[in-house]
Amino acid sequence: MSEVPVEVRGLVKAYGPNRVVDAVDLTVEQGDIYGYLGPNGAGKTTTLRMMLGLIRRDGGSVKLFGRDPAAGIGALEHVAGFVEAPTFYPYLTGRENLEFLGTLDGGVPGRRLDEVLDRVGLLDRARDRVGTYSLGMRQRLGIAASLMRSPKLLVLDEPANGLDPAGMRDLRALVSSLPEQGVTVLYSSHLLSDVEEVCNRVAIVNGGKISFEGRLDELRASFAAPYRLETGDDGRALVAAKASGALDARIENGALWLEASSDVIDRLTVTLGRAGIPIRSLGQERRTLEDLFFRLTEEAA
Amino acid sequence: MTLIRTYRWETRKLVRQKRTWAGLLAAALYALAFVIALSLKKHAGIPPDLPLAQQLTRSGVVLPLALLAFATFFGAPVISALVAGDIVATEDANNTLKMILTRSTGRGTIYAAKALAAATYGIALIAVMFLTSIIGSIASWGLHGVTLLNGRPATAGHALALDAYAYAAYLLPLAVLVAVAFFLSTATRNSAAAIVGTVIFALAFQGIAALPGLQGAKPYLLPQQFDAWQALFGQGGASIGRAAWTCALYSVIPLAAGWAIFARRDVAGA
Repeated sequence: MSEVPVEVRGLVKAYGPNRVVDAVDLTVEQGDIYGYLGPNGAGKTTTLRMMLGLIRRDGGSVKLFGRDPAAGIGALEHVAGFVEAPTFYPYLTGRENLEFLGTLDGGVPGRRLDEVLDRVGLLDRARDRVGTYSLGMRQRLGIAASLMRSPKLLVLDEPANGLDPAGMRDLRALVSSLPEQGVTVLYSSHLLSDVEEVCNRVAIVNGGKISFEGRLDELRASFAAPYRLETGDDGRALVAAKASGALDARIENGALWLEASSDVIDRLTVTLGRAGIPIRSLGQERRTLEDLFFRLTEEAA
Repeated sequence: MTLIRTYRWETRKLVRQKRTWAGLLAAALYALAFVIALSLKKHAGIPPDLPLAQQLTRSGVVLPLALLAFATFFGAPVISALVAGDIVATEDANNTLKMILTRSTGRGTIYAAKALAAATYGIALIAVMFLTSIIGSIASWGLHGVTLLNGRPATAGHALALDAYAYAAYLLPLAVLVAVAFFLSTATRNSAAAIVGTVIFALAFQGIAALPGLQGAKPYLLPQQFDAWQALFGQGGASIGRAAWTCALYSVIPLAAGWAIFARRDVAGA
């Protein structure tokens, strides 16, 4: 078995002239919690569907542990998860749904069912019909159904949907603990804060194309955060900033905002001092993943 | 083994759905209504060419046969399609296909298990109709022997066994309706469309059989197979053997077409 859980190359899906997934490359390494980020309609779920063999691709290749899911169900041997919301038979109980899925997996002992139900906090509701479950409970049952297979790759599509704050906290703790147990996680979400908290690597997709793939620190480093400068004379400071070589300088919300390297900022402060323009405050904004995400997706749009 | 286990779960799922019980209840009420109607109006509504029709009031074993003849035109397509036409479409309605198709069982096994479960429902349907009609008619007219079409007498027990065989033979053309409903359920992903489509299919075949110039082909058309059970009572022209192979052929075609769709279909959003 190949050690690389996910290798996607040049993946394409088109509906008529519209390429909803356009030459997507993804590599998820062993032990990664890999965030797959994008706004609604970006092509995330379509990518996951192709990865799980649910829809046919129009180009490119998918390898899960070296095997192509389009070639047969065997490629999903070590893979579990769900796309969009996990779905179940509303007329069966939570436990019966898992029993049925376990049957499709070749049989799962009752002990294991109880174990995963307990792990997601559903053991006491296991004998209730799923039709009576809340959205959050169905999400948790979906995670239980995935863990039941003891996967080496877990694919989760918007797993935090419908979870209350405590449920989201538990989900993050659960996902964070999985790599220690040898489980690689592909975590698709538009909840940037979730991804920022649990994922070590991310891909950002927009309009079917990957805008960025790599480590989070690489992503942050790829975009210099702006400096916020307050002076006694912002108008003259703006002229000085442009003359010092700032990539971008503008006055906004009572401050001067600068896109510039640290060398340029050093030169500017000296220039301002010599020109007698008082500097009241100078600091570099911290860019959240959300800022970067919006910037990437808006740039792509 | 995987097929058997999956089939058991598919039947278990059917048992847990209201639609299944509604279908079986409809079959029971249909048979009961027929018994009551004929009890009140004797021969009314019975085709004159129906074997043993003249002995209807002499023995309770005759009425279930009249029910079979009646059900071919009214009832069987709808009741059989009620579940068979839903069994794949409901996975689309619940958006559960994506869940089951990402487990370790292939599409072929899932498709076969569902087809077998739909067939099991068809058997249950016929069993309910038989039991309801035989109990109702025996309660009305008693259990007595009859004279077969070849003039030989049949004891009550023998006649009862022939009734059971007749209902078993009726399963052959019913399997075609189930297969058509199953195909439409797979192709249209819509239960209502599958039910209506099955009824239209049955009516269309009745219409084709009535076309002039098709006398040579008539023994091989579907409507004729619904009367194959009459061979058990000595009716000339009817053949259960011919019904077996023609119905197998008529069933395999929609099942194969459904499989071609199911095997290649994209499982996109709801």
